Amino acid sequence: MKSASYIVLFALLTFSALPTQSLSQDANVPPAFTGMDEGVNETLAEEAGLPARDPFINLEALGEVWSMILLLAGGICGFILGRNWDLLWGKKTGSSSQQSNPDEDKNNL
Amino acid sequence: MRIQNILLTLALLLSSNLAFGMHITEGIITGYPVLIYTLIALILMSVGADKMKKFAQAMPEKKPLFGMCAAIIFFVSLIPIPAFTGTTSHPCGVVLVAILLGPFITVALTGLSLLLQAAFFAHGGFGTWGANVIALGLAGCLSGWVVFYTLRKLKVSVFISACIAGFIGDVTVYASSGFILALALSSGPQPQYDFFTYLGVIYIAYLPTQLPIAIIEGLITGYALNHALRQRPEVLRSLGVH
Repeated sequence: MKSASYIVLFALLTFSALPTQSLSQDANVPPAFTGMDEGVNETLAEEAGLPARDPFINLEALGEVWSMILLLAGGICGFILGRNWDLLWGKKTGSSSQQSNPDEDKNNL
Repeated sequence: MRIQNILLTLALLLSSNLAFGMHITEGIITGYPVLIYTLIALILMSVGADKMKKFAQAMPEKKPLFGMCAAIIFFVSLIPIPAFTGTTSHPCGVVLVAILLGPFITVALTGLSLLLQAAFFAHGGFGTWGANVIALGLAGCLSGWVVFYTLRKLKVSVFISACIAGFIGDVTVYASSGFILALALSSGPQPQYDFFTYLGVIYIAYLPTQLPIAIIEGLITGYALNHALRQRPEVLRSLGVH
């Protein structure tokens, strides 16, 4: 039940970020911060006669679909990390001097 | 840290653009080097997949770690961190995973993440996938893993060892990415400089952006591993982290 409420919270937050993402992008204004690969790699490559190509599947050119894919991917990653958080960073289960017990581990996981 | 905080942080991070850092863009590497890099990456991935299979057979209850670690690599290598130089770059996340699961499993997970990024996120490319796997996967994982266990053998604390490993791993990723790029550019159709000059130019351009990110990545790796060791020592022990 608790996990479900976390998932709903995350979904709400993710979708609330959607309009912000759209409004923050203006095609006429160059981005203030360019990626290092664009600023360094692609500039040098173009001078060397190796211009960067558009990706084979260019979702970036599909406008808002791109935002949706980004948010979806982030949501999935967030869900996986949140769902399995206890595997590594959950509440303490015992002192570090205890011997490892596979059955106990299984229950803890 | 509570789960709500993590989810909130992720949602907020995702409201910004993608980061483009060490990933070599489609089209920059052409010809036979594409085949060589891809072949090496495929061999590494098959070794990693084999180790994953053995890991899953030995510890089936820890299989969810694969998904979790893949999500860490995929997500962390997309986070855009702005630097004072006006560019953005991203951390790597592979060192933490390499310490937990070993370098070869991490290479396999990195390869999968990079494939997804190349296919749907305009991040890297299919032609440069092999080169990116070697830089982010092999170089980053191996260097971080070796540094961590060398320092642990020297009785350095887990936190400090992981901090240094995270820092070295991040720097190594960018060093190897710059090396591959310099190699491609110096053998391009119209090279402007020789290999070593390209290497110097690329490293000088990377340094001011990447150095602070490498320091942050080192600290986060140290904290994450130390926290895991405090909270779940039995899990880390069973993974062979000592």
